[in-house]
Order: sequence, then structure tokens, then C-alpha cells
Amino acid sequence: MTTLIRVSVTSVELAGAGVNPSLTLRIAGSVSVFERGADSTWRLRYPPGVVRGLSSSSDGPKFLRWAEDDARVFRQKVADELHDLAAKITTRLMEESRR
Amino acid sequence: MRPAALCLAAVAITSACAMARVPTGDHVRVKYGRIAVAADRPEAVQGGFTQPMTSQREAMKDASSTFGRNYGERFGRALISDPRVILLLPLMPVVGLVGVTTSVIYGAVAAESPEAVAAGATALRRALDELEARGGSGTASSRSLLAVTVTTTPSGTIRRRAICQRE
Repeated sequence: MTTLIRVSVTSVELAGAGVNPSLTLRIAGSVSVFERGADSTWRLRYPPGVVRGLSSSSDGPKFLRWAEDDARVFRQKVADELHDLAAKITTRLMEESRR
Repeated sequence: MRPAALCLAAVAITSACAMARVPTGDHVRVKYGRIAVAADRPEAVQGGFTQPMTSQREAMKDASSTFGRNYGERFGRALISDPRVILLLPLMPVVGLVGVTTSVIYGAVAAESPEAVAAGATALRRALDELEARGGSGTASSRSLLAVTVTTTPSGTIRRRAICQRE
């Protein structure tokens, strides 16, 4: 392993406004990138940065739909978004490293 | 009964219920009592309402009604802006929900069955607690939820893998 990308999720939020609105899942986090040097020690390559933009569409389900069946939809969507977040971060870093 | 007297009576009822640890359904009932308090205090809801309690509840269940929509929004603001109302929030089970704003909760209450909203809030709270317990975070936290490893093989192939990890 040559690179370690650490992602700390700082918030998981269902956002919306008004009376019983559709709620958008928003996940935010910070990212730190470490690289292993020739002496096998890990060094911070990028300082922590904020990652945003992961969310379901604005016409997401309403509150009770998110919560029904022991919050099944919420649990699944959080899991999906976290894996998607990981993939997006990796892709972005790959693109940066090629420049 | 004058508005000020109504306010004090409702606060007393709410405090008594909290000490007795009444079940969720009763908390929801008390919450409607709280709405009556806000409605009787124009400065809290920025305009106030004069409808009887029964018609307020019916209107709140109808999200399409102007009254229901305005009431939900104004009450949400009142909860945020009125310290005397906020002081009572910890007594209600739905308010502790992390990640969903108070106004959203009350917006949902205004349009849906309050009992269903309270149960939904509990389910979401539990899901967030479980997320936190396995190393994630439902609130601000420095704990690491994901680690993504990137490996370059001798042939130059890039492999990547996302794993869940507790820091």
C-alpha cells in the first residue's frame, strides 16, 4: 500500500424546509492523504480538506419514507453514498496525480 | 383564560409529564399542547393564530392548506427563536434526532400522523446511533469512517478499495 486516504465523515443530514418536504441526504467529511516514504514512514501529502456534494436528488423521499421499516431506506442510502464518496475521492486523486 | 395563564398551565403540564416519563404518544400530545402555547403568544409565532385548537390540528394535517403550511413554518421558527419554548425541547423524544432539523420534524408533524413521525424519528435516531457505534458519525466527529487504499501494482495497474475502519 502506497497511499492512504482517510475520510472522516463529519455530518449526515436529511435536509429540507417547509411542511413535510422531500429530504435530501447530505454527507460531508474531511479528507487527509498520506503517502509512504522510502523509509516506510507515512507522511501527510495533503492537509485535511472538505468533501461535499454527496447527496440524493432534491426530490428525495419524505420524512416518513426515509424512516419506515426501521429506517431501511436511510440505512441503505447512507451505505451507498459512503461507498460512492470513497470512489469519487479516489478517482479525483488519481486525476490529480496524473497532472 | 388569558394567554399568559394558558402558557404557564401548559408548561406545568409538560414538566409533570416529563418527570413521570410518559410514553411517546403522550409526548406527542404534549407537543400539541406546546403548539397551543406558541399560538397564544403572538410574539413567538410572529403573527399568532386565533383558530380553536381542534381546527388547528385539522389544518396542520392538511399540508396543502395555507394555514397548515404557515403554521408549520412559523412554529418551526418559534421553536428556534423563543428560548422559553426551546427550554422544553429535551422533554420530547423527537427533538433529539441528530441530522434532521427541528423545523423538518415539525413540518412532518404538521402533515402526517404525529405518532408516525415520532416512531420514524426513533427509527432514524437508532440508525444514526448504529452508524456511530460502528465507527461512523451521525454528528460532528473526528472518528474515521472510511479508509480508501490505493495500491499501484508492479505492472502499473491501479487498484483501489474502500473499507470501513475504526480509527
